Amino acid sequence: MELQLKAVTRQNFDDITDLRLLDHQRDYIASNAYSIAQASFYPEMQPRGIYADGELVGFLMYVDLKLEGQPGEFGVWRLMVDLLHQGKGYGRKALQMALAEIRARGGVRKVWISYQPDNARDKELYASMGFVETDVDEDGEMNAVLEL
Amino acid sequence: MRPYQRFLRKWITTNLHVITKENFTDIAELELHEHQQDHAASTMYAIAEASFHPNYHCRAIADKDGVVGFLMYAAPGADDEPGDYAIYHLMVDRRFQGRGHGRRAVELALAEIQKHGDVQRIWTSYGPDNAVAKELYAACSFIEAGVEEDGEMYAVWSPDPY
Repeated sequence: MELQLKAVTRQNFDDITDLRLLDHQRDYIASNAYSIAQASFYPEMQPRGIYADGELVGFLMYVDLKLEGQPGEFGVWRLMVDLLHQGKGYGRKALQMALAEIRARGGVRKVWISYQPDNARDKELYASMGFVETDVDEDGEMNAVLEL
Repeated sequence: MRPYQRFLRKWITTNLHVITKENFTDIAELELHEHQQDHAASTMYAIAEASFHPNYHCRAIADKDGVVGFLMYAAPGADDEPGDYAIYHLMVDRRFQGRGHGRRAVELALAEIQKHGDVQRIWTSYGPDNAVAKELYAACSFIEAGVEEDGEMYAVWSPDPY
């Protein structure tokens, strides 16, 4: 299986907005349409379609945090895998590829991610990739950071 | 227009603004009534879609205090009939409905579209059972053309030939 990240374009954005989550997952993440709309105003935001063997399976967006006055740091603000494709390890591989893209920019020291503190699966996934928990923010999200 | 709307119109202003990073968040927070929810997702979809189509123009509907709604109009693309424009995705936040903003916004959009100079027709569409949209567009001189296979009623506005 070959995983790829592709830029969001006129051709694939419609399919990306059709990706679905399970009911209980929907509250945790902005809709893909929202993310793509938001990114259109911020060159610092990089939305990507996640493709497995050419088939669209998910969406992620990473952000240059110079936007928030933290140069040299990036954040992965969105990561979702369509409900039909969850549990196949695509989330982990896609995140690794996003980290590779971020590293390739050069000069990046830290990558931030956040998740629900009671989400054991996210916690384990990010911990296994080297993210270290820092604090729970005012939205109740756990922040974790990876030092590059 | 109902009498109270005629009254409201004297002191409620409606403007159309280009969408920027400054008012984007306000647009994302616009709310609709439960039975209108199908339209809510379409605002973010429209802004996303417009970012890939330079002929799509998104506008915030605003009163003097801030954003109250959204609409988008499309200029003809390469595959469209020349002169065919369209208004899509009109919505007014549930807290600001019934004050004439929708109608004012469509009138402003019609005026803005006509500045393009080559306008032959301006299309819109709505659910055939959407009485509010039907009345609003009829009041703005749209004429119903019929229900298409997508189940939507299409209505068209044409410039005064004189």
